[in-house]
Amino acid sequence: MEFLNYLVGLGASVMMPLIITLLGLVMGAKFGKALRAGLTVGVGFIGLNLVIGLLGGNLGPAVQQMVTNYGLSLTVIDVGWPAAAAIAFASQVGALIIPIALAVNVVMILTKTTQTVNIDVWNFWHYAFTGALVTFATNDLVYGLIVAAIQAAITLILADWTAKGVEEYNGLQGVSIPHGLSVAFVPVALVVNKVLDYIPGINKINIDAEGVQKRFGVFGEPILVGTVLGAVIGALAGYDVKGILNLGITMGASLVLIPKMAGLLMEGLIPISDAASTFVEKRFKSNSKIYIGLDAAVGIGHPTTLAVSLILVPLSVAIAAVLPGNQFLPFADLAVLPFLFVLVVPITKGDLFRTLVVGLVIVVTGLWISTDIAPLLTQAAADAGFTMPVGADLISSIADGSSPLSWAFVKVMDLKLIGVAVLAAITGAMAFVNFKRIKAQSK
Amino acid sequence: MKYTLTPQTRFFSVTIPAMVAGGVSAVMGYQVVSGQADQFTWTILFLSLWVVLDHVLALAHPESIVIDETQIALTSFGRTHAYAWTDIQKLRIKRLASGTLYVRINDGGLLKGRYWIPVHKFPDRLALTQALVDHQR
Repeated sequence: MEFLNYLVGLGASVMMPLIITLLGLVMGAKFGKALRAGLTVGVGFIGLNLVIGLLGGNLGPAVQQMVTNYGLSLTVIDVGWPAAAAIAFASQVGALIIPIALAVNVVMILTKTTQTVNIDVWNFWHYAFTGALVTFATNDLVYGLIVAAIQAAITLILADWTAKGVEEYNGLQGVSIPHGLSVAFVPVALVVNKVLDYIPGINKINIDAEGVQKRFGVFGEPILVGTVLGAVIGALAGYDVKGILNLGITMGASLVLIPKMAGLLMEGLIPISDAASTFVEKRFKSNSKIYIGLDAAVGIGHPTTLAVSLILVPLSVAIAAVLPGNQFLPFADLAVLPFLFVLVVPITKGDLFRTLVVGLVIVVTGLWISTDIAPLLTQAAADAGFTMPVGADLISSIADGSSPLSWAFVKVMDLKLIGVAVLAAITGAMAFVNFKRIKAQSK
Repeated sequence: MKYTLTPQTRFFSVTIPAMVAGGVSAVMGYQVVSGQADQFTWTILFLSLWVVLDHVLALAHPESIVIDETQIALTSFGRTHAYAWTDIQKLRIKRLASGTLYVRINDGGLLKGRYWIPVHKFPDRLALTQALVDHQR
């Protein structure tokens, strides 16, 4: 356990190249090829996180300035994902989540109930967060561990179901995204997208990135979309001309550079993905594909994801101010919004209009969920030693405080053993459906 | 047969990324030279120089492609990588679900031999795809 924690403590930048190299060797690639792939993926991953950090680091202060300027104040304060991470890591569930999630993945691979090999170990904390909340609510560690394992399993299945879309619309061949926060919004996206199919007139609207470029010409290009939206946010934040231009150009540059870093990552991953497919075909006599599960950061670069996120940043604050029943003011975590939409885009097939509608539903439900879960999250955070902001009675966050999956698990577990039975039945049913799908695919 | 990106696509998909990365490299380089570098400066400098190398030196994002009986030639930023068919031992194509082809010629290296071809952005996409697939080996 300590060895595992030590490895995780080295950070993704060190561990990612090692894991990819090892994966390549296990899949039968030559050492030189596997090492080159690992290093390329590692460099791409570092680049991606740097550019995403640039985006968030500039967007966050602008949003906070906007909130200050408009004098908005609600009783539940958004303290950001560090509070959720603190809850996760401080708990006993957090201490055990890596072996639990890895074991779940191995069992599901062997039983052909998932096609995803999840190497995104650093984001296992999302499962631990839910497990920790359940432990705190039920005062029973066993329930927390069971829920964490169930969330890990459901995340893998939802990652499989969205993988084809991730390949097609995010250009990430052989990749799935088993990210605890991103997959939580897949059910919302599926339902809303289906409802839109049945609304006359609305169901004919089709605005994808190519369509925007055809209609708006150069103004549909990602760099200009990012620059304009960034400038608008800067203006709303009350920045001077220099600040507005700076934010606009930074956002535009981010939309250009993120796909380049993702491309570098893909160049490293392609040989490993090919080796994995050959390995599965040879060893298991199966045409079933293996997906490499990566951080949602690799999918952030889609123009629709970023454009919708930038539009929803100021809109979320406005909606929070007027939404009945809401007491949560999105603030520290607004820069995390793109992670909520990464798996929405494959479901809406990159359609800007549909992603925006889904996004609005996600924001509204997310605000209510963050409000509802605030008392439990506040208590759990205090218990975990998280430093409360001055004057804060209640805290919450977008990540993972707005997660419908985490919220549903916590509510169902009010029923204790019955809750376990319900969640186990749902997970079993999803695993069976996925097993049938994988079997049909491999024929 | 010559296949060429539209001017708008060429500008925004090939030229702009190189310009943005070049600009970032210049800013980071200035920070290094003036002693203002922090823990991220060198990393960002390295990555932005990589993007410039990828676009301008390695021509990994070609603006035009010529395929005839004797050779395949990929051109970008006024420079061309030309390969006679007799000199090509391997031409591998990875078709991504997004519509882009990742083409590697003779194993591909850092400065030559790796090409991202967004065939769906070329006017003659079907003919280009078929021409590349026909020469796969």
